[in-house]
Amino acid sequence: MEIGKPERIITVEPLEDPVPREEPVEAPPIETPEEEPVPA
Amino acid sequence: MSDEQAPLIIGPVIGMRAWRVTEKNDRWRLTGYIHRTVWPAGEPLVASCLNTTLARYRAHFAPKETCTCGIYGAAKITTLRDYAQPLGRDGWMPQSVEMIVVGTARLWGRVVEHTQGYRASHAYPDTLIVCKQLPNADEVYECLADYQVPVHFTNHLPLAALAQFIATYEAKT
Repeated sequence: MEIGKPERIITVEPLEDPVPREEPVEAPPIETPEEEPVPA
Repeated sequence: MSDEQAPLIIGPVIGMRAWRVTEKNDRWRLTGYIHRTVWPAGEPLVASCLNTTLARYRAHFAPKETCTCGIYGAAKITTLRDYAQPLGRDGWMPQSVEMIVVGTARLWGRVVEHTQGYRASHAYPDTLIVCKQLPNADEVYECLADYQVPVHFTNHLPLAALAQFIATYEAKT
């Protein structure tokens, strides 16, 4: 690719991450068994 | 100019590009047009000097101002006409497992600014355009979603599609 003559060097600092990252998969909530009624 | 003197720009810089595609682990991936370096999905492409004519000098951080190394992006769409030549006299491209994808790339890190584009140390696709009529277009379109950036599927030829995208983008900004 012909992009002409070099003019200057710059340092480019992205404000945000330029790479889309996959959202971490949330672990499903742990199901707790309902407490059985205590026999009277 | 040394890096200490390099002005700091808040980025990324956006450059226009053409890519080839190649199959890797049964998924289509973008590759550089010249050096065929695979652009990974989900992580940045980091430049290294692949200059074959200056092999003994290439142990330097890419891009070096006096070398030709780095990840390229064009500032103007006309620059991509270099890649239109393989399309043939009728403006179409030959049947091949490789095909041209056009679009824009995010460029950052150390960047050499040229009169008509950029060479950068880090890059990631920004927007991709796949032409429906090209070989394996359906598969390529589906696989390029792995990059998690907008992928357009169009009936237009690559450069016409990119020109239309750029015009729409510039009208919005």
